[in-house]
Amino acid sequence: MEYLVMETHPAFAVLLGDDGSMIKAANFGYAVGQRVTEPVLIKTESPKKVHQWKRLGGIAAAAACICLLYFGAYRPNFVPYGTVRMKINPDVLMTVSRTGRVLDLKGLNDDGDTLINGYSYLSKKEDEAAAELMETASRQGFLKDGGTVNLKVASKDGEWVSDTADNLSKTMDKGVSGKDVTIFITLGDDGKPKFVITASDGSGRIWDYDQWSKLQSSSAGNTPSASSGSSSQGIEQWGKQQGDSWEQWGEQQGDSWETFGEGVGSIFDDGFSGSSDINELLQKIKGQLG
Amino acid sequence: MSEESAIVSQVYEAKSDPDKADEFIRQYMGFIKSETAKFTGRIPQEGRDDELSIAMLAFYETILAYDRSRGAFLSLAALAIRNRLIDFSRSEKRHAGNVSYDEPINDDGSTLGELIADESDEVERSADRLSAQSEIAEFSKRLGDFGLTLSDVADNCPRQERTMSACLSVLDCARKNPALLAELERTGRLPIAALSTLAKVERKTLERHRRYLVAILLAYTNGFEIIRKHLSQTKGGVR
Repeated sequence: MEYLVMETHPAFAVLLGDDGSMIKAANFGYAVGQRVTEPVLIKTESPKKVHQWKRLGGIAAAAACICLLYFGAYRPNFVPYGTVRMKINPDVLMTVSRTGRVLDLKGLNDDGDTLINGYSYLSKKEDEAAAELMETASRQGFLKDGGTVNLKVASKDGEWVSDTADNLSKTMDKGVSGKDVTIFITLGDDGKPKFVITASDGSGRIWDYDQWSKLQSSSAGNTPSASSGSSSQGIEQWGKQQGDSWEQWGEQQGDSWETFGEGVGSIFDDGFSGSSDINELLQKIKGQLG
Repeated sequence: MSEESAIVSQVYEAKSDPDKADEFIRQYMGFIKSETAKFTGRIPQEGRDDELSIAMLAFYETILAYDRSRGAFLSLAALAIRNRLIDFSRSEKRHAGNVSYDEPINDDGSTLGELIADESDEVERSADRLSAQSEIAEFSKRLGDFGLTLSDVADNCPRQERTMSACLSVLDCARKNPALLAELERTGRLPIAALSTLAKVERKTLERHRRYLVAILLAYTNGFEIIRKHLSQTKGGVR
């Protein structure tokens, strides 16, 4: 391509190409009006644009990292997501992260303050902290044999509430120190508990509240309340009644079969005398089985 | 004001004003020569050494590309000069086997160029160049009436082939409609709306390359025969 030198400067010359392009190139001592070939063209970059893109890229990468840290690590671990309220007599409220870390612990009454005084909840999960607090309550005399514990789990996330309650139900019996204790776990704003844990001698049993409630009513004749302190006694009483009833039934059955045996024996006292004996035996069996 | 910030403010002025750029480059000729000498191993001579021309171009490129966030200007310029000279020396190696016209070939100092008969008419060539100079001076003056310089036009020239062919189709359209060229001359304004409609080129493209289009259309008005002839002399030239 041939270029016509249009203008010269110390560092560059303006050239008009025969394709219509007008460009800047190195000035190898060119004169205006001269025709040249193979010039060394200026390298035009748009540094601002590149720089802005780089800067934007950097900002975007930093924002992505911050988002990743915030949503991936900070928010699940350090932002309050729900609460667990434990009421024995001491009333205590735990603020819990999404991953179950206890973020804050405060007493809602004087006994609550006494209970948490000196207790370090840092890096502990909600179920671990709750079990340890129950153990402390038991040691300090707040939780006695036959006592009850009410746990209320609350959050905007129903699934989280359900999972947390499930977690608590699996570990709470460890904190009762062998005492006969009933633990009621309520989910969110539900009026009635969802689970009941009956714990004694270091072993616990999880009941659905409705099931447990029916059991209580059938044994005690009235619907046990969540705050009732004699739930375990009710069950024992019901068990005794059931036992007596079955014993009585067994005795009656025994008498009946004894009579039946004696009757069958009398048929064959004089030896087997044919079909009349068979018919009599069948009649007795029919009568016995009713 | 510190020396560095004084340089930076000069650089920012030189970015948009070619005269300021020339002045700044003259002021730092010592630096440019020194950087060139570091590369070539000898003191460069103005007007004789291509390496010095390349170094000056690299210095000018640094002025255009400089941004405060890129650090000290002179360090950046030194690096740019060195890189440009490396590129240039690599490209020159391709011509290593060629003999220069200006290379002395005899003991008496006569050059190859002097021995080879020049078949072209030097007088005619000189006259042509003078005519071209005169026409380019007139063209430059007419551009000045539009508030433009040739340097502005070069800066505004499309870089992409597609944009370039769009601009050339606008030129084709204007040549077929001399009234549009006359309107440009009369009003001193580019008839963007009419050109956009007739050439079927987006108005945005025309507005973005307005300065280049004014120059190229102006070349096709009366009185710029040499420029027009240059533009249409080759197969790849302007249609």
